Amino acid sequence: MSKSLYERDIVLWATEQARALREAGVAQLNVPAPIDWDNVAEEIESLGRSERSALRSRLAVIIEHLMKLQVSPAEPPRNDWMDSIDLQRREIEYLLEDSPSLRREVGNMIGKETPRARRTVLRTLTRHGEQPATDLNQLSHTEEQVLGDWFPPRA
Amino acid sequence: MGKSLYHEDIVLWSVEQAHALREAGVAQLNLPSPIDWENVAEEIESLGRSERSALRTHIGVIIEHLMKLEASPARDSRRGWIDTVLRERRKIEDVLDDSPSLRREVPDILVAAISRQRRLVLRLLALYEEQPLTALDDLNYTEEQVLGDWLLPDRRRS
Repeated sequence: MSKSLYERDIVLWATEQARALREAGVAQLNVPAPIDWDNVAEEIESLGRSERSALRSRLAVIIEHLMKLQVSPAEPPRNDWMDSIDLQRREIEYLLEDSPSLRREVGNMIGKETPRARRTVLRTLTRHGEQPATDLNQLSHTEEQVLGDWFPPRA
Repeated sequence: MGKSLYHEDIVLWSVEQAHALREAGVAQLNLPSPIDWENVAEEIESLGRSERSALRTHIGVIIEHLMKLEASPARDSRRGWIDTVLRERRKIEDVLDDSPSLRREVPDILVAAISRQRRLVLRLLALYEEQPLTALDDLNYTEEQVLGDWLLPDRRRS
């Protein structure tokens, strides 16, 4: 039940608990000390929101660095990009262990972050006076490529 | 009541609410859906803890940089240190605006931070092979000096 859901999936727990707290708030319960139902619910809900936003920003970094590996002619930063991808993948693993329910949102997030990453990478290349080795608009990645141990072949 | 206390003092609110939630948890209420009282209370409580720990961190950073300004012979980094002190004071203003009740904890936090930061600054100076201009053990700061506009004793202002 709930108690163990907290350990199994904190995002799911936060969603459920926020709803239960709001329901309790309208039920006019006779509580021993007054409870600020709405704000408590809000704070619990924000736990889930921050996990979700951490996942999104980590995915964005991975996608951006995969793209840079694919299109940038620059040699020296390649190792840094790969290190950063490794790091973000590991952090995402922890995130998804804490909240397996977030996994079903990954595909959607990748879809949303891809065009943003294309724009970011294009701007970076332009700033460094580099020409993309391949058309950025052709680049997209599957969930397996983003979260697995895939690295693109050298451009 | 609870509702406005949330905006007036989030630390106080979190303590009170965690308490109320735990009491409700043992009260055998007839709930529309089950509530995980203990973990909800725990999470609400941790809000207050993280505000307090933010305050502690900001105060520590200010003291470290006041000490460096006073004890380090290095010239180049002084502007950066002053910037840091001012920036951290701004952040503390925000924390204390959200939770005025934390102000009464400042003196205790200060005492603990001063002795910790003396050791830190001493190690940093040693690392850069600098001789402290004043004995670190003599450096002490009041709440007004840390949170106000104060930067340096007059003898070091030059």
